[in-house]
Amino acid sequence: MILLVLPDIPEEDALLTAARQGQEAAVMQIYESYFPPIYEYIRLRVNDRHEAEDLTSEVFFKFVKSLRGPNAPRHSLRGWLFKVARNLIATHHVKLKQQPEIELEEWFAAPSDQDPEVIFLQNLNSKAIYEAMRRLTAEQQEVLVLRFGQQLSLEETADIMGKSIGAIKTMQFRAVESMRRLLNAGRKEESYG
Amino acid sequence: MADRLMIEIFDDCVERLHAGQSVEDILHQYPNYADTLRPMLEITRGIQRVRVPSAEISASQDRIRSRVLHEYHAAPTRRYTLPPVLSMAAALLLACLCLFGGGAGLVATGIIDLDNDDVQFGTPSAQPSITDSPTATFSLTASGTPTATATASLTRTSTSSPTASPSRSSTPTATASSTRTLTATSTRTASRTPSMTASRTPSSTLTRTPAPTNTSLIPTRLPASQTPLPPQNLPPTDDDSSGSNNDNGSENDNDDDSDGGDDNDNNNSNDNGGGEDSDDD
Repeated sequence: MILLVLPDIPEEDALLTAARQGQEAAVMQIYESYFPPIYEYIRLRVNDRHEAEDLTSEVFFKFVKSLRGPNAPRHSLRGWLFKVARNLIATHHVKLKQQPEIELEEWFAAPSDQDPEVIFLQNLNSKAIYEAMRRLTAEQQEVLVLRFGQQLSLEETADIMGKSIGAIKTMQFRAVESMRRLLNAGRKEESYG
Repeated sequence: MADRLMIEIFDDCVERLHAGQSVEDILHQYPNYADTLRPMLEITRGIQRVRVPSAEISASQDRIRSRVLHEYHAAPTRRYTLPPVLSMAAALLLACLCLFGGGAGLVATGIIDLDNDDVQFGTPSAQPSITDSPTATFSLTASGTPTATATASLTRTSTSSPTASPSRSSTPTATASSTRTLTATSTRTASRTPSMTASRTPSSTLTRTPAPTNTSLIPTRLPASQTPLPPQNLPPTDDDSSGSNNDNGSENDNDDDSDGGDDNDNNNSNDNGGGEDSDDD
């Protein structure tokens, strides 16, 4: 399993300040730290890995170009990067005019042998969970990826999605509740089938 | 209401999951909601484990790294530019500074003879003789950008009144070429009208009204701190009949204090010259 550790906010601000001052090392450190979560976020929403790679590179191109302009991020670097990624994904979907199709199997890591609950969940429901996710609205999918997948805070998620914190709380609750209903329906079908 | 409570409880559970607590520990915090929360938390944990293979991420990261670095080096050097409005304001400010600086330079170099009574006490119509040129143009670059160039032009003009003469016996009314109008009388009791002290518009008008008509009313309306004309700025008694320009100078001094350097003073360059003369003296 990949464990993503994003920089703390103070460290992030220091990195951003150094990058804005033209320190190449800081720019590259930002790249190393934020490429995995940004790529993963995009990859979960885009069907093709090459497309995901292109979009991720575009995010960082925009970042390095903005460093020397008036639109450079000043605070919440990760929020800025996710916002850019989100806009690029939206543009990508508009161009394709299709919902992203993702091969489910590759997204799930091997089950942990230390957590029986996780073993049960992944063995029994891994595909079903993702199928249920795919049946949610785009915004519900997004909030689940950001909040649970990337483990962003409520504030960051709200900022990225342009919603209020209360709306994000409600949205994540409704999304999981919908998934629960879908999963239960699937179980019943299996048991009756 | 119940939904709202569950929404808050579920969010708290998510935060606890993020903090590393186990599902069982979290459910112990909410035993009354455990049956509802457990499947939801299991789903949440399942979503948390949806990951892109690390090999795919690393391969993409390696491929893009050099391109990002190239883009970073290829990005143009940042040049700070002022917004257009600020650029124009800065240009005008510099123009004003150059104008005043230019006038002081003329005084300093002796081109303007401050002791020349004919000039000092003459009507404004006599002052074009001391201007260096009727038109002064200043080109100023406000910022480093090639496009941020502002040009300020100043045209010094003066009007000649048929009754104006450089002698001390000038007419009581002197009209400057700018919007400022000064009316002088031969008495010391002249003062600003209340409307003058209240407005700080660049096109302020200073008026000295004849004593019999206005002096009985005006002082009661003016606060003590805004006494319009200090006694030392009033023209001497023996020059009352020709002291219009001295009046100009004192008025301008007061005006500068109250207006904080109105742009209108730029246009009244001749008048300001008189004011500065008084100060320097």
